[in-house]
Amino acid sequence: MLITCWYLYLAARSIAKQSLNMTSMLQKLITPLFSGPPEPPRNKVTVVGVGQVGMACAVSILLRELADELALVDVMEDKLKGEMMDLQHGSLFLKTPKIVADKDYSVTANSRIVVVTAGVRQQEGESRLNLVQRNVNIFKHIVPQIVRYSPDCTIIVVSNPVDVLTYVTWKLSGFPQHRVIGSGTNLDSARFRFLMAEKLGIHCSSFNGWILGEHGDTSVPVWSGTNVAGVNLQTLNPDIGTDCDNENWMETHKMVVDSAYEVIKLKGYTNWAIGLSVADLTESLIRNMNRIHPVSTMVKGMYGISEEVYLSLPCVLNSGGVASVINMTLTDEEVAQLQASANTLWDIQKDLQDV
Amino acid sequence: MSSVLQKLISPLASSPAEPPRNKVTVVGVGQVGMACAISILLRDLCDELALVDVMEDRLKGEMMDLQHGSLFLKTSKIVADKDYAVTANSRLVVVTAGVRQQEGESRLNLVQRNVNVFKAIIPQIIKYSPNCTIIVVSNPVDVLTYVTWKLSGLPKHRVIGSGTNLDSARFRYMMAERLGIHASSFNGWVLGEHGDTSVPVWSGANVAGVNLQKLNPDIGTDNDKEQWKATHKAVVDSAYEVIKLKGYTNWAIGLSVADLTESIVKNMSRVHPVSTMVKDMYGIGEEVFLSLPCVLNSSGVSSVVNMTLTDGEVGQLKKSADTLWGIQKDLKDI
Repeated sequence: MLITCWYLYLAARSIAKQSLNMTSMLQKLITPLFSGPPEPPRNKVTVVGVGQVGMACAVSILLRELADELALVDVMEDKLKGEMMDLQHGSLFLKTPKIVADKDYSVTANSRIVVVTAGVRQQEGESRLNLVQRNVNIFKHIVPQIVRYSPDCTIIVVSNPVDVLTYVTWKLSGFPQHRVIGSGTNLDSARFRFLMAEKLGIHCSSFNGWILGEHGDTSVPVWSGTNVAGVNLQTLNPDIGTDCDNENWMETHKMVVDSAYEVIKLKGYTNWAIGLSVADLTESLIRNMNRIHPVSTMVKGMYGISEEVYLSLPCVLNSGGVASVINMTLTDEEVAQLQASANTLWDIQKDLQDV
Repeated sequence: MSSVLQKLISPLASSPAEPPRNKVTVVGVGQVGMACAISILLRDLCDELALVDVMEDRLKGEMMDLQHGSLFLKTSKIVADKDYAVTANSRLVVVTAGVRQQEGESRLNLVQRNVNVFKAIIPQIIKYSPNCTIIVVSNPVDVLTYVTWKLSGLPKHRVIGSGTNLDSARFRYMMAERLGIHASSFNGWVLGEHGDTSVPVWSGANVAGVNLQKLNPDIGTDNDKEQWKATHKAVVDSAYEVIKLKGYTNWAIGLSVADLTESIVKNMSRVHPVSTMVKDMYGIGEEVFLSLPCVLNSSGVSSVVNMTLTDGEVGQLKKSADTLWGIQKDLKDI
């Protein structure tokens, strides 16, 4: 009798336990050890603007595993949410565990790098300089918000006209000049190296050549520095890059200048190459590499330039931003071309309102 | 009058250029095709990439844009043409061509439109790469993988549908989010049709080998207080939701195709849920393609993992098979 009661008691207790047992599967599966707040991100990257360029930057940065957190910002809320979800759905294949997005900039807090691709893009046939005032007005909303939430970040400006907008960003942010970079001629140089290397039958990473100055129609190919394995091409062909050159190498630089217009005419926009080049810059900054890239930086006081303009020069990039600038040995003509670009840019900048 | 090239470089070997060993072709340069292309390029999976499409300007523009990024990539040859000769000697061909789902349109509605597109594409692929493996991505993927298999004449282990590789990735992501862990640490498989009737195999869902159904026997059923079934529903709805928000999906599918490409090109024998010919399995009597866990390596689908499914799950697979056969039997000219 006592034993029966005992078993009845055990059965009743078991039933009571089961029906009252509200532990979730998560609680059963996982026992937390540490209940503090989650660690802040150490390598957070924000991309402002989720158009084709912004998303190409985002996916290149994700596939290069550069960030531990990625934030996306835009004004178009549905598109922004859709892009965020599409990237999150790929999480299994990525090493960036936190991908967030909001039109409110608080989502960008504590970023190390902010990539600004927002703004309107070149229409077919439109030069970069025509976009300028339209984009300045957009930046007046964006830049203060970035600075508010990530006061120690480095900003990479991609939107065109990049040299002018990097100047605008610098002014609006109040940052020291070494923490505001324009993507500049990093892409032009990559295109130049690709096209030159194709003609020589080698890989573009084995062709050394720099395009500096304005990212646009007046970029400067530094022919005097072009070399393969240290063999200077101008020494082999002193006419290289001039009109007298019977091999017409200057045509290759012209193709670089035209290439953006050509791709825009064919597919409506460019995005892959610029996205890859921005990931390349991001890598140098995040990994503190001290690699040299042709990016847009403040050049007042160099090469006889007396105005506050941004132009591309070879810059040493590390986690502080632009650590230093390489002093080029340029021909008088190349210096004159840089000065001409500086004047063109200053002409536009001086008329900008509210910067 | 020697050129700069002649002065600079002395050729040693004047033999013709080596053929590519790991060539990948992507057919269709829409958003999905280009997401596949950039994911494959950034994962350094191929030594040559070919793009094909009918829209010539767009095709050329995409090719140029990728070429301009060559400095940052390890794929030294990127080519494109509307003529399939450019795809010759591919190891792997990813087919994304076709029309995409409109907002609210189910995948099965696209079918006849895409069959006609495939009748032009598939024979061309085979002509130039008779030994390739084909990954079909275009929707409805299970039906179109069947169509591709029929039109190509390839053995069934060489024709794969991207299938539920993406559904499973979404499932693992969403389940993992609810548990506070990374998607790669959550094991769970979604099989069957890539679409509204996909089958989440709750009996296999586990973390570190701990079977979730043992912790919660109601998991995936309507009785479940925690409503884990809602997570699978979110997977089914996610494509529609992303399409509604941004007009299409591309990143997740691109990444998942690169994942399959990696297993094939690197001969890894990893197991992926992809669409394969399932006649005579689970009591299915018709030639349909459904997703099951497949071992992928350089031969394609070298084997299929035999699942221990509940009767309910087998019933669901059979039902998917019947739905798909219902569509396939009416297709013309295959």
